[in-house]
Amino acid sequence: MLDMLEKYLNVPVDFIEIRAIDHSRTDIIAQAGELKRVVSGSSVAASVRVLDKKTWGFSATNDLSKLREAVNLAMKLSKVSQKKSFKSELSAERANSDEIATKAKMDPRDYSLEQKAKDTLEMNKEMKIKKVVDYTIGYGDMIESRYYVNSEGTKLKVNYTISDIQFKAVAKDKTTQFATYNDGGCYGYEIVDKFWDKAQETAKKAVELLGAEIIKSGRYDIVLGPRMAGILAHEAVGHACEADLVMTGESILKDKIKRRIGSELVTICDNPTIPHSYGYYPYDDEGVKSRKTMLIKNGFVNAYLHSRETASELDSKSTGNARTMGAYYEPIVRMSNTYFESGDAKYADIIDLPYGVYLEKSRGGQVDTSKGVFQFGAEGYLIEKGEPTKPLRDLSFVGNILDVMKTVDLVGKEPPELHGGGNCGKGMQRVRVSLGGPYMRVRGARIGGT
Amino acid sequence: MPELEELETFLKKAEKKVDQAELYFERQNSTSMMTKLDGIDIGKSNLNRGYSIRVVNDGRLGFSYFSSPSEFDKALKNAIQSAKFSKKLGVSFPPRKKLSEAKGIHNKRVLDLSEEEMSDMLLQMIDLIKRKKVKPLRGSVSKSEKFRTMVNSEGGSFQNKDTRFGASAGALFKESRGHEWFDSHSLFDIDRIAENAASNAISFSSGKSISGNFDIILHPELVSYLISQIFLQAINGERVFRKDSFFYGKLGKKVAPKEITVYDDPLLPQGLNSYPCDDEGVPSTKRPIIEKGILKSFLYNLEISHLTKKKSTGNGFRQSFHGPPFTEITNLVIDSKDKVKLEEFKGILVRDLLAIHNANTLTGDFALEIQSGAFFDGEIKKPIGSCSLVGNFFDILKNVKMGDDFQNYDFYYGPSWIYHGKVV
Repeated sequence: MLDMLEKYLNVPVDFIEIRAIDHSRTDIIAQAGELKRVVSGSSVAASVRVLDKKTWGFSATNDLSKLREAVNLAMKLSKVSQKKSFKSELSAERANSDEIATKAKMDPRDYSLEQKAKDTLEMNKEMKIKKVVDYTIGYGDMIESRYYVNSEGTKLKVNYTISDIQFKAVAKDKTTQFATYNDGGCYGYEIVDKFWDKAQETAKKAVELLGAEIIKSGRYDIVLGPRMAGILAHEAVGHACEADLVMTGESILKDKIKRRIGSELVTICDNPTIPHSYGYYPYDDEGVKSRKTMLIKNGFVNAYLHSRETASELDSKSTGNARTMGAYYEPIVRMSNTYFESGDAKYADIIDLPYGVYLEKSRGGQVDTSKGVFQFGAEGYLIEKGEPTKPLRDLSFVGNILDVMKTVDLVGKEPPELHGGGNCGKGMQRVRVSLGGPYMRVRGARIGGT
Repeated sequence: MPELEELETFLKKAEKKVDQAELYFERQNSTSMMTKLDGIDIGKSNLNRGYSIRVVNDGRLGFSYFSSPSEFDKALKNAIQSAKFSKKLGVSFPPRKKLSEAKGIHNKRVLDLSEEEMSDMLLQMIDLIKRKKVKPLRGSVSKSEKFRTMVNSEGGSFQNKDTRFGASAGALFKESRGHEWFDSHSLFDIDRIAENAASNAISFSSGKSISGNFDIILHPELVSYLISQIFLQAINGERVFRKDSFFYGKLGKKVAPKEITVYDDPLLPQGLNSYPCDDEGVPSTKRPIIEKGILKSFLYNLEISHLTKKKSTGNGFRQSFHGPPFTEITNLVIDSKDKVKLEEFKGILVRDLLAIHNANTLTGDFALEIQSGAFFDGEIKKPIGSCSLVGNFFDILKNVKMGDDFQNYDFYYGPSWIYHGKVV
């Protein structure tokens, strides 16, 4: 494939890159004790991006016999855009040549569809407990090859084995509530054993939420569990550190490099190099070798996340964060695995609040990077006399990045716990990410409920 | 059509191995031009084509997909294997039926639009935004044509093509981002996209926080997102069957004021999601979901109609050839006999909420940060600052009044919503 793609690079433009992605995927859904869907399929697609006279052109197709036409179309679109273009340039980066594969303990191709269907169904049946009226498991595995060549000599093939799993339970008595759990990573079939226990945990959580209360909106001292710490790192800080948003003036962290925005306990990084993580990649989708980037270091803004284009614009080097959802999309600045680094506090001290809220599990979130305002949904518990007590539902944690980071006063000493299985959306593209952190405490946070 | 002949060849091969088969093909060509700040960032062209196959063996439904004709045999094998695992629902593909015309969904002028014209449109939008002394962010102009065709072993078939033209614009005023977008089957005046984006950035810049109970207007775009997150889940026939819907047990009950009727109308002229039939060949019909405030019907695709022993409502649509048809709304149209004159209305306008996906899809409860909001007195007045809108979607629906505007955002064809609610 790489040699075939290389043949199309010899065209009169300043820069050209071609990427191809082929994948085969199996998805199994079991619902209410029955198999609902068992699907396997495969597809391949390729895209061409050219930069000529500082102007981009892009074309994608899943008919590889039409790659020459795609190259010509990308060149034509670049030319049309040259009328008044943004004037893009690329940072100088090393050309890489490599072939690399993620390592799964149990290759999913070694397990029959019958075995996978049987295990998914058995896991699903474990979710049937009293008051649970509907319960679903989604299992997926994917073998994906990403090929990349460019006119600077980069030539890469990366093979990924990725598995993910989703649980959802609906419980009903006087009210109806649901609980979910998602995870995933560069795993093979070992994912089934790794997350088997989550089936029943999710069902129990749904039942627990039937008795959960909605808290009165107000200011509370809060404790964040690893997933909530992760969403704070990803949504509130990570997005605002994306250099494309900084460049256009849409980030509240613009011009804040070396400026303090948080307490000295706040250290946040983005790290795509963690093996088996959901956001792992050895090279980004511009062929730049991935690396760990410290976004916030001891409360100070330390770095932004860059593609080659934003790095050139802001006089920096690419951090290897240009990613695409697939062959039909151009690479844009994205996060990978984003998390709070550990501190030195013990869990017993973090939870030791006379009255507060423990935000255990995220229900996703969103940030307005230009205003710095974020909102996360959560499930959790009331904290009374240093103990999590009554379950709480439909919690929201709302704040401004520049205020909240200053009120972090304890960060746990345990290693950051990463959770995958989630996709981050930006610019109509969704990419695999994971997030996490240790337990941590935030003072006087705005919590929404009723 | 060569694709139809190809599908029929595949169908004949499949029929030798299964009880029933269905072959689906789609092809989408799209071109888009995008801006960044005050220049054109990138021109993009995508060609995507692919096939789905579904089979029925012993009443069990199986599915697979492929993007190259040479992969048909493998996909057929995958689909047969898939059927072995699925529940015996007695699914049967529909025979050919007379289809109504979906008017105004294909427009040659969209296809004829050149890349040069598209880039001129973009530059015009940038100019309009800058004239309002607002910084342009990102914008786009796009055109596409989608062709889809299906044949099944029961004689069912369809061919359909539609065009889309879309424009979007983003603008920044101080720290406030404004946006606007619109998609249509035909060309439209893009000036209002740029002007609205700039106005939204200016109108909803920072202000003072508020708290208390207010008369509230929800902007039609925001209503469409709330409906998508909560209401569409509640009217999904499968969810109702599985007791995973707020509307479980509420068919025939009053869920909205008697002045309000809500339709799913797949034949709405020029409707963005108008089609003669769904992706399973079931003919399109206009259907009341709520009639004079009473909950009248839920939506079903073919598979779920067999599971629930109901009739398909013609709402089986594929997101792409990679997946089987799911139950989707087409055009949700709201008709109200009693409209509130917005020019006489005084209250709080909520334009955007953060993290709408945090709203509880089952109960309808939400507490969401107001991303863009303003005092309203016949027109937008001062912006409001950081605060949350708290409430329950289904409580709002019970007492909602409709504004006298009528707008279209994606599947939503309706006005602003007005109710008395809480901000904290």
